[in-house]
Amino acid sequence: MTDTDRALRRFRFLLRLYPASYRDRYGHEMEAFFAQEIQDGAAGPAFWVRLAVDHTRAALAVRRRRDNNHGTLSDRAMNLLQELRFAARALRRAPTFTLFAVCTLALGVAATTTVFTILDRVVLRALPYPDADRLVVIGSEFQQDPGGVGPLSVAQITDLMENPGPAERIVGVTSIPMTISGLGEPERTPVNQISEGFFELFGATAIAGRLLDDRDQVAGSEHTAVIEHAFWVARFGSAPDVVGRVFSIEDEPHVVVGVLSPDFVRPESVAGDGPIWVAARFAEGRTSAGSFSITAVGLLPPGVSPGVVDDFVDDRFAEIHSFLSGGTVLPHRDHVVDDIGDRLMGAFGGVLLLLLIACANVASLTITRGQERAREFSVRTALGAGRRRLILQLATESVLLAAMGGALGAGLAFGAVELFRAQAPAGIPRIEELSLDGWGLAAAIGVSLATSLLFGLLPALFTTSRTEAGLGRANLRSTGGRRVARVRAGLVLAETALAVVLVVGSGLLAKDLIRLSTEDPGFDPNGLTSMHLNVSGRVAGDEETSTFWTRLMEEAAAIPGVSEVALASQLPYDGVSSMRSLAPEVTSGDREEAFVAQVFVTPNYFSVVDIPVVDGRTMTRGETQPGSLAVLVNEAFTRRYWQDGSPVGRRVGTGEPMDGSEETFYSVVGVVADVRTRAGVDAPPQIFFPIGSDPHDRADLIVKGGASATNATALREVVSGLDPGLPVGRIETLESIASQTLDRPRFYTGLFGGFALVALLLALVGVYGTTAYATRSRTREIGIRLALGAVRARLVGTIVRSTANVLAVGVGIGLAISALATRAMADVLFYVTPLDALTYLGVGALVLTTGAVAAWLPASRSSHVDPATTLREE
Amino acid sequence: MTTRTLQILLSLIEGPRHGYGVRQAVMERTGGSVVLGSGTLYEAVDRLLGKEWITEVPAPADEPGSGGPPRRYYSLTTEGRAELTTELRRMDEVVRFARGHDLLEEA
Repeated sequence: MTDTDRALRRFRFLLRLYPASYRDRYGHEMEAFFAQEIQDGAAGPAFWVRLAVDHTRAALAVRRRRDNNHGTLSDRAMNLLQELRFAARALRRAPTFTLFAVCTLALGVAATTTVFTILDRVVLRALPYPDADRLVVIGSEFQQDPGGVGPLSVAQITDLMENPGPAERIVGVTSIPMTISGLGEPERTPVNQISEGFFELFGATAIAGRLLDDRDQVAGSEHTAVIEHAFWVARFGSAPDVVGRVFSIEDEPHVVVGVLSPDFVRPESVAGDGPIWVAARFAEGRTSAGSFSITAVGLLPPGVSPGVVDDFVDDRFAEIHSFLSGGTVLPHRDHVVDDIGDRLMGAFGGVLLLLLIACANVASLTITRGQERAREFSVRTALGAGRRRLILQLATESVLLAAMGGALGAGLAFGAVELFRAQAPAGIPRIEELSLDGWGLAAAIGVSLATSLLFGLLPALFTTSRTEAGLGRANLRSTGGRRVARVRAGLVLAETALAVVLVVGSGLLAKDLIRLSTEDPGFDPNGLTSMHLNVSGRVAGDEETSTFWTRLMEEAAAIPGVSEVALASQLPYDGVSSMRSLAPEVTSGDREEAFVAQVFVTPNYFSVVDIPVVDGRTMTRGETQPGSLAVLVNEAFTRRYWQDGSPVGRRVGTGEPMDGSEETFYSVVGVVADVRTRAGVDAPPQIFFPIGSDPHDRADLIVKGGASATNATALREVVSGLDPGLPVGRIETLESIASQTLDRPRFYTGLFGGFALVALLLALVGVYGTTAYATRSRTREIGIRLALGAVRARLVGTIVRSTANVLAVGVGIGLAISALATRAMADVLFYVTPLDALTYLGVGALVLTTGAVAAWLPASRSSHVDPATTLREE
Repeated sequence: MTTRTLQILLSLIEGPRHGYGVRQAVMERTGGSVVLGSGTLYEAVDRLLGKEWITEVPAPADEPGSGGPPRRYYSLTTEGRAELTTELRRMDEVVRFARGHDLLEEA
């Protein structure tokens, strides 16, 4: 190619800026002009730039003039409208295809948009605090919970606040339910106690008065409080003179010094649920010294990673409390999102698989239809329709499908998001603000368009280009037809494999859920109703407290139908509310410091809740007095600390006191069987104290018998009879409490199961469609064979067998992928391993069988066609 | 009337030309200060054809055969010639005025 030719080629490319008709008219002239210029010596980048500018300007002028001649926008719009009408008509003439395509698109779009919206809101959006990415949560690392973020003690937080190490600043917060009075009806609400610098860290501002500062932390000074905006509106009626007003917290007067602005967002996972903020005054000792209830948040200096602070607190914490393994430091966002993020990512992965299956289906459907329209397109081309015109038509159809699929999908997504918000298990952060918003809609439209164009338009072009030449059914048997058939088989294979992965995942979750539901809880929850009460502030001193509980139990026992009544500070399957550090006595070696769950119970608790006493006995009446030293431990405790010999008679000490006084020793009188605190997790070591020995403000009353429906009212009456002003806490059967621990696994299993079901259906639709088309194109052959005496069943068998082969390969590949992919599920499954053979086999069999049926249906139907009719159709 | 249009019409006064010929004529007459690129030239030609100020004419018999399709030649129409004359007269009036007020030296 000479230089001139190459230059000419480039010039011709430039000429494409002009409308085709103009090019037809002046193209040659311009080329000749250009050739002459070259011959006259024009060359170089300057020349080309001038040329490009010249032609761009001219092309724009020409186009503008053309538009003016043709009536500009309104004409363009008319053309577009006409295209749309044609496309709509074409789609209407193929209702099955349109229905399937739109539904498939809608499902794919809905699933993707829903999960994306949830992911975006819950995980990805930044938290609304200044320097949010420099905030970290600092927690204690307990031996029983490696890597966990446990609460801190007062000793730890005061140490950290004094010496934050590499962190810029560290603040602490604890939330305690307290009784509020002096504002109308007394109520119990969590009160947030914060240290200095807390509000600054989270960028809080006051719209009235001031925020808490150092002077509020001074011991002995007037008690102050800052309230949230909503609380001010509700309880003070937005009174402008709220600053200076006084109300009581736990009968202690507090002065309101400020109101938080309405856009203050309570720091997630760090603060409690209450609208009242007071100074913690940790130094003053309002929080009891041995308890761990404080959450610490730190601000990292720019460029410092959490790991540096982690090392720092590891040393500090182990020094302060020897039973701690150290400390854990997590970015605040990760703490908020916690394990939800992982599960949602898993859901997103599942949804992407679903979308891929939907895409494969759309492609498959389009190819099928493309082949059926082969004749139509051939005729059109023969009549002079340019290729571009056909592409435009197909593109318009794709866009129309995308619009319908996207609209339907967006609607479904909206419903799904609302459903998720209503049904989601507790503990998913930032879920109140969750709704389908502009981003979600944009995602829906984007996904719909992309799917439709990529998997709808491209395959359509692919098939029509192969059928442009020549009419008649003959070309379906040509190599073009065979290649298309291979593509379709490939699609079925891919769809099957992906569907298998999803079904395996959901199968594992389902099996795990069943195991969880049927695990032995360690007690009998039937017929037990509990009522939670908190009497702090209502009774004064140990004796009054004991008297109250005793009278309560007596009155409750009098309820008709109730056979037994007990008290406990902690219910089974209800988590762990209280822990304590103790030192079990050992026969040899050093005493270990143990951090165990402590529960306070009446002696009959074990018999009421049906927990077997496996060694020794329960406490006697005499051992329930204040100062009693009798305790029980559970089997987990003995397994952990006393493997040798019977634990009965052994002692557990409180550890050597720092002030040199005598250590208290508790004596173990019995051992009880393990009872779980959470589903799927083994019972932790527990120690049981008699509730009378250290009268508690808070406890659960447990009644056995009676009807659960009437028990609630009866219990409330009993309480109001004893103390009309005492608010009643949670009243719930133990069965219901126990089942709530399954909420989360149940939810995610249901979610994944939903995906799997839809995926399987889509894949089956794909198989059905493929087989239906394959048999339709072989109708003539089938007719002939039947006429020649072939056995119908055997004929159907051959057709099904070819599809079944593809299915088998797809299932095989799917199972292999599942084996790899499900490894990520290991920490979500309690009882089932990710490679559970039974599940894999079951899923394989299921998909193969349903796939075979999906193939058999159309094959059987076409084989029942009258051979005479099909032959005549020729 | 733009400079471009004026120059193109002027080039056709002496007889029909094809595109490149117009460009050459314009370059010569203006001493290289007005250079018409192929884009702008043909865009203007298209416009003038639409206004029927110029028209296409068959190539003259002595056109050297270049192997490709015959080049298009353009010629002034009566209307085009009239428009051109009007414009030139207008310009002449301006020049007269300028000379009368000593803004322009005598030619």
